[in-house]
Amino acid sequence: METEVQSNYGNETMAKLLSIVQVIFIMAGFLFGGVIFFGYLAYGIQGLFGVSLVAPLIVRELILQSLIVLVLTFFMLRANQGVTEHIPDAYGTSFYLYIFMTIVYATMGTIGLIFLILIVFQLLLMFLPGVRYYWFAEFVEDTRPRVKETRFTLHLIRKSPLVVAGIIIITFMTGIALAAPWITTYAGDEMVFDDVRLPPGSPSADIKQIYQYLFDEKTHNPDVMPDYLYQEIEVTEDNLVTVEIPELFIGVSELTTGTDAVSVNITFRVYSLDLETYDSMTPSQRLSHLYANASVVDASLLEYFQLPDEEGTFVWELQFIAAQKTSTWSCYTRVVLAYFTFYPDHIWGTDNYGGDIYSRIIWGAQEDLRIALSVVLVALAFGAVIGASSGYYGGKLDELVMRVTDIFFAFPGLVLAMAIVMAIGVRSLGTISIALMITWWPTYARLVRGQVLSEREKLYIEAARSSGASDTRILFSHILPNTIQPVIVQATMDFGSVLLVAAGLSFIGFGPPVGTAEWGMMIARGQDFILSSPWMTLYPGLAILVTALAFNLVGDGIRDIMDPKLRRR
Amino acid sequence: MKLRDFILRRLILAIPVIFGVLTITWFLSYVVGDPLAMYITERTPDEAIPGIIAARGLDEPLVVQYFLYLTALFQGDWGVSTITGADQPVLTVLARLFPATIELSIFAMIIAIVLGIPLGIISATKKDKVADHITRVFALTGVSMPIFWFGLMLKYVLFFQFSQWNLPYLPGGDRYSFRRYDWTPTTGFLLFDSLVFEHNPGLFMDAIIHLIMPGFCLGYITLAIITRMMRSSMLEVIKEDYITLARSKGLSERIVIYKHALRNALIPTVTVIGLAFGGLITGAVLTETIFNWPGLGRWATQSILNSDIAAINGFTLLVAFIFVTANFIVDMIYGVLDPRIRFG
Amino acid sequence: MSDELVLHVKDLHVNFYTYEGVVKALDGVDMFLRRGDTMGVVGETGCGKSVTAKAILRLVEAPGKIEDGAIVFYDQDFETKETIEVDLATLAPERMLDIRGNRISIVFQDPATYPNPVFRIGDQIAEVIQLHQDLAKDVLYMKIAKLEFSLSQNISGDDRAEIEGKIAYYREQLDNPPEPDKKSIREAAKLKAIEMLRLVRMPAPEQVVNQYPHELSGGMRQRALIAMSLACNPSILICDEATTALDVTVQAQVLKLLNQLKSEIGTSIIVITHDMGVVAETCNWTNVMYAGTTVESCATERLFAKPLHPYTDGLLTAVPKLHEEKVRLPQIRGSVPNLITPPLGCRFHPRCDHATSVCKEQKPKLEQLEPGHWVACHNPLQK
Repeated sequence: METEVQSNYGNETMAKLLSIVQVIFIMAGFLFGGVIFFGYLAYGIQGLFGVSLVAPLIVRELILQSLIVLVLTFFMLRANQGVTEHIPDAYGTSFYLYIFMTIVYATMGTIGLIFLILIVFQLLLMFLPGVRYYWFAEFVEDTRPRVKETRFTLHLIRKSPLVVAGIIIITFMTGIALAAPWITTYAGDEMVFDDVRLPPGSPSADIKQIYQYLFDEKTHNPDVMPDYLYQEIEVTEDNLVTVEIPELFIGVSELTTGTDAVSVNITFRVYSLDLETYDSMTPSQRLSHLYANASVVDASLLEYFQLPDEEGTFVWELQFIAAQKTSTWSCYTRVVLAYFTFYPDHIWGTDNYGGDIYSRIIWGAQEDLRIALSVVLVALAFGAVIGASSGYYGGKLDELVMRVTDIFFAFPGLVLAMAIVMAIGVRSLGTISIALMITWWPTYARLVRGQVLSEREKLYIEAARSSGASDTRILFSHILPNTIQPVIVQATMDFGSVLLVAAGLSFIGFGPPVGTAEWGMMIARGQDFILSSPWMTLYPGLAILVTALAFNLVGDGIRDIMDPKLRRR
Repeated sequence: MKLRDFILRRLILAIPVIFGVLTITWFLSYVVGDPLAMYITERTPDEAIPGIIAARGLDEPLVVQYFLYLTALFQGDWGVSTITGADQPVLTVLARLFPATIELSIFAMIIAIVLGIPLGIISATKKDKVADHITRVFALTGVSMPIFWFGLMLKYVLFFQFSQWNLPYLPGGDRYSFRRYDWTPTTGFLLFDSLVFEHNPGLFMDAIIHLIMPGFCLGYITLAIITRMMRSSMLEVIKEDYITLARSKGLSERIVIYKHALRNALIPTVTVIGLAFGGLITGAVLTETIFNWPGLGRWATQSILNSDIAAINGFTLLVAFIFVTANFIVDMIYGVLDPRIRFG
Repeated sequence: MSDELVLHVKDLHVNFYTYEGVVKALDGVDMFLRRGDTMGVVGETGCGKSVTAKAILRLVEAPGKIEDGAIVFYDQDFETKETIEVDLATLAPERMLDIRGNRISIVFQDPATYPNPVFRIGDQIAEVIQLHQDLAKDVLYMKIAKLEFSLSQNISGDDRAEIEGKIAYYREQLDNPPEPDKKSIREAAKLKAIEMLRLVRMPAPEQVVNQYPHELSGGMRQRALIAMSLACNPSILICDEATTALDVTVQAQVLKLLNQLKSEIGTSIIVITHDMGVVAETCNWTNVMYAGTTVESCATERLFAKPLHPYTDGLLTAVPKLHEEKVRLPQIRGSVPNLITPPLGCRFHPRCDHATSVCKEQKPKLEQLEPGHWVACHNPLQK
């Protein structure tokens, strides 16, 4: 069975190469993580002493990732010891670590890319037949029962209508949020002052000007003179919806003659013809259908021409006439059709500042989903690391962590978050995110700690037998997979909870002052007008409800499915 | 271990937590704002200020301040709240507003328990059938809704729309129709006062009607939590061996579920109810604003927005105390329900 | 040992429908329990002993289902000796409630997890008494006993007369007792519970009655559970590995108790176990099961002396005996089959040294090959 997977012998050289590349990777990771993290600390300490230097942007942005990188690289170091000794467990650990690190480095932009390349290289090395020999068979054996369980879980998920419904809704909402630039009719903070508190389905009372670029070339280089451009334009109903009359704009500017001193005559003409007729005529014939024209010599041509207030077809023509050929003459040419149109209909009405509810909800989806995602991920990462260390190493550290989390739990979530926002001072969505991260991490710390504790008890017996298995390997191969399940359930439901609390905070007034589309703030705006314009609160509330419900359906359903006491085989 | 020792033990364990809360609240208020603001208002004459600073030790090292703060706290001096306009001591304000919030919270909790436990049982006994799915969606909707939105929508439909459609409608706010009834608070608990001191059953009914919407709004979330917890603990309990034994004795399924399973399943649910009390307080903050309920929640929101440090401090402390007390009571009930806990 | 059957399981089939497939847990089980017998049911773990026990009481839960077969119960009223024949496999569920705990009882394996931890022992025993029995008479006896007790305390003449009058009044009602009130029923049931605890040789039964399960030791708990199951004088008591979780000494006590109770109450007992020693000690009839079928069924002495089925022979040989000197413990080669894809024909044939081609194709039926000795085998042992 194993023959197709591995070779009959191990390739010492390759394995050693992998080991060495790992060491390089580890050192790079420590260097990078250390510089960023301790650099941040240094700036912070200086701040305490009154020196007000602000850390460079890159340090502030990557502070969290650098911490995680440091921790993961530390584990990598321990695994590397095992890899050098060809212990199969260590390879498995490295594999899992690579996956984690890929996720972290992927969020770090260009620098992360370098590390990603290193990771890919190491993975390639790991999967060479000569290196696979050392670990793959055991790894497959270890993971096979887990794979079987996962497949059973997926089967149960498919059978559960609530979970499937939840997943569909979440995908839908995420899709909408990502597609915001294309499916919204208004920008997020756009306010149309004429359209205050309109009911759903109302057309907009305001008009806006649209510039339709028919021709736009930066360097028009007439190689041959005379040279002329022409194009057909159609004035359709779309251009005529408003009272305002459409106009045609010609702009020829930024003339440069270069080395040749040549005089260029620029002539612009508009004919009341369609393209076919234009082509079939001679220049003189065309002149009888001339609608408008303008011309300059050696100067910019910038003119607006009013078009008739009815549908029609025209051809514009732009001529460059010079005494001799020139190859250095260039200009910036554009022809624009400027017309007016109404703002799009307000599908779901507007609020009291004239913001379109429909669009603001979709833009708000971006904000709210981003807050939920970032808060849960950060709280999870931070809490899990602390909880795992606390549970695994026990002793004084564990006691301390327990007391700290106890105190955090003594305060109801909303109250604590409010206090933190006040302490930070700045009222923005970013502050809300940070406050929620601080409020939520104890949940994960306790959860992971509990799991680690119960797993640790089971494993001391095993550890006694499997001599030489280091902490790292036990942590990653055994404890971690069993911890993931409840953490996933908690995280999924927390997406919904965080969403609600964030909306609540912005509702009370802790969000950004005005403007930004965010569901909680939209409800706040609408609460005074609940009786006259209920749509202002109805739609954002529904959005929150549906999204949070979807997350809760999935989380609750998964918990049902994964509960070992309820799983039926 | 006797019940008395059990209670004592729990009390003693609660003390460090309370101290932790006190310290952190004090520290936070110190960091967030000017500590002096806790004890003065705009109306305090300038001459009095140095005296106050000396009395509170505000120019002394932090440790002294902390100590003075704690002693003041235990003597009932919790600072002065500015927003109520009359510069009342925080403790007085708390005492006045406390009953309203507690009444509302207890009403909400009753709704949550009375509806939540049966729903959880139904959901568990009919697992994966339609009744289960509907109950779960109903429960999950409760935890997925922003409470302030739910309150607004309730108000809109049950108060406004119903009156538009000429249906009997619920009042849109306040504790009672003060235009129709008179009430001088004795204990502050309207339901109690109206029957015992005012002897006015009409006022009692009126108060109940006013409680319905905010109570349900506030209680829905707890209802959802209780239903889910009840469901999961029932599901676990039903798998236990003693249920098989009960069935083998020839007991009807109804008795097996409602006597043997329920008693055991209630144990973890009761714990959750205690924890949910904290959530109720949080919810009260938002609900009271919407329904114009003269309680702690509304006052808390106003104080936060106006940076009334003393008020915020007082509110946070009170909430933490309520929380610790609720947990303590839950521990007691836990001990009654599960004899194994009692006897060590 | 009478010849009258009290329970006859005929060709019972039970399937479990799981994610991995259909587990054919019971594939034709036959059992005959005679009135007054103690029947042992032996077999390896997973052979279907517990499933059979649960099937008899219709306690098999989803995804399990009784597919086919009959479970005929010859219920006999203790006083009138009237016999009623009932097929438990097809009986309506509501009627089943009258049988459980009342006519047929079961004692389970683990006394730690089986009593309900939040109720007192006495209440749990009283519960089954109150459920199934008409306590009207017992209430009267109880009242009479109380009054007689008060008589023995020296009282004045008038009161004496009053009490004696009441006693006479109650005695008259004995033939047609009135419906008692709830409180009296509870009291009477509790008294009976104490009686039952005394019956199972529980020390200090008046105290135990008010205690919670976790306050008792394992052996005491098991006695309490036995008391619970015998409280209504069932015709059949099923012991599903009732002594497996106990210490050896406690096990011996409980077995002795069961034997004594049998003669005192007259219950027929089914002892399910994998311990041949227990069977030898307590059972006069043995039923050997393998992979969901009955392979041999006869009197215990006969089984131990002259087993006819190769599996039984293997089992007996595998038990180490004190007087034998062996270098290696003998074992039956191979392992228990997968019940989702069991072997065709006789389920034992892959492990059998005497298997022939017919064993691979045809499933053997349980037949009386010798008087009083049933075997399901194509090539039974001849000694």
